[in-house]
Amino acid sequence: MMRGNRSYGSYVVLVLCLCLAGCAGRGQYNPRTGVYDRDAFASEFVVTAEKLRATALEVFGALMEIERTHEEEFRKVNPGIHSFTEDVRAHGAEWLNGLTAAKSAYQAERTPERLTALNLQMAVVNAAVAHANRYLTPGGGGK
Amino acid sequence: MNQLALDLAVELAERLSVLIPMWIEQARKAGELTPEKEAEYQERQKAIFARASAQSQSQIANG
Repeated sequence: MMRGNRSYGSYVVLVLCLCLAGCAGRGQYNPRTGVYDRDAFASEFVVTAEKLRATALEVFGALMEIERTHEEEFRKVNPGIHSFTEDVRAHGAEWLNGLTAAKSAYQAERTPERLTALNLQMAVVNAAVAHANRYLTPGGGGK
Repeated sequence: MNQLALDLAVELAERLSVLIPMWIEQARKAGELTPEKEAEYQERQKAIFARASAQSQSQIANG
């Protein structure tokens, strides 16, 4: 059990590092003009937001499916799993849409104010992913 | 969680320890999503939440 938890812990940390790596190549999009410039350097913040969003979607999807399949067992282990998963069902799409909106706004006009708003939305989604990952470890107790 | 599930989780984690450095390298080279890839993401998001909603509806219907 310890080995499994440690391996999963490493996985979660590495995925978060991947999300926060912040390195980016070329290819910049402006949703306002619809122009994709393949030669311009990408924003590390936009790339990070897109990777975080994709990771969050997969984590939320897995959590909703696994929790639905094993709801009764999970309730016995920790009722918090169900209440958090219901939160994801009710608000997960809103959190992701908020991140998409902030990302698109920043891509349209790359100002410090819009970057702050993007960072805020990334923090919201990152916190939800970290919370969900606690419940996806072997044992599923989230303790 | 039974032993089989635990073994599968450990195997998955071991495989990921090989794959993740490769993903990090790919992330360093990544650009922003093209409009087509953004549309693909939006479709996947819709599909995942629609499936979750359908599972909830079916559970309510079943009682």
